[in-house]
Amino acid sequence: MIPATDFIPAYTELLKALARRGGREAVHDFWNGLATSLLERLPDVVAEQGVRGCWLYWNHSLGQGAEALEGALLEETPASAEFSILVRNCPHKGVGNGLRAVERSGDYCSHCDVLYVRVLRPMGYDCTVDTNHCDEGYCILHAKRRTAG
Amino acid sequence: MAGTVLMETAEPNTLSSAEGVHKDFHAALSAGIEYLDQHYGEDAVREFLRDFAKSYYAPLNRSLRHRGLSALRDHIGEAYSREGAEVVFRGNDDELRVEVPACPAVAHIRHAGYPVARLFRETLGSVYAAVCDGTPFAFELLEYDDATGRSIMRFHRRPQ
Repeated sequence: MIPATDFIPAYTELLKALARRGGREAVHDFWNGLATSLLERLPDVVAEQGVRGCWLYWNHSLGQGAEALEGALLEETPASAEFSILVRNCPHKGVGNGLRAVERSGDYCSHCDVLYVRVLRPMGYDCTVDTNHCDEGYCILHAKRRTAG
Repeated sequence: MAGTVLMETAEPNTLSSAEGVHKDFHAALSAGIEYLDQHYGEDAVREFLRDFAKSYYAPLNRSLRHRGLSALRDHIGEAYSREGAEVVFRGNDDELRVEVPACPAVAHIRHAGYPVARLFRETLGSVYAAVCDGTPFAFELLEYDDATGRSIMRFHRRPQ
């Protein structure tokens, strides 16, 4: 068993293996499948709790690395229903910077854009993922519920 | 910003496992193994896991060379303990048998209703073979039950 706590480096190595064999197309194809199968709880939580559901979901997803969670914030304005998550200490970058180094995957930082946006957009959310600061170990995902009309 | 609620991470995490370990990661890894298997074959799965083990578990490989089988015993014991599972160790300085009554990763994946990859057993077979590379020890996966992840592993000193 690869412990759940060792998932980030294993996942990183997986993305590299996929990219070596099938390029970015394979990585994105894998993510699309993952969005359908493993993120099935995300629509439920978001449908039930709106942007708060987003926060709960990412709290869970990032729960492995408390250092990452320190930066996870929800900004909820009932009128606009906006959610943003700032990952300050990305576990992937932490792994890359750590003693037990696994060479980083160039595609890793795109996974939120593919996985989560694919789920949230059909639910009425406009989403953006700012990955301009990945090298500094942080990124921002922003979701805003579209208003009717 | 008026009306804005800022929630720090102290908020109770209603979706996390009781142990505080994000066990859905097991399902994601299983999905990755299955994807590699279906699209690129068994060798791709084994190569991925070997590459992972050789880089990420390099310190364990070094520790195995310097400390012997106690390094593996500590690593495996802690890994399973963190996920709420007990394992049984038997052996001596030259041989270590590890009996895992049920794999917590497989249990979680099945409980959550996700599929377990056909080659999920390679998370033991390929990983620990790579961990033993270049050490005086070899690895055998003596038994593995795909349904539960129950396994018996054997690490033993290679013949001189």
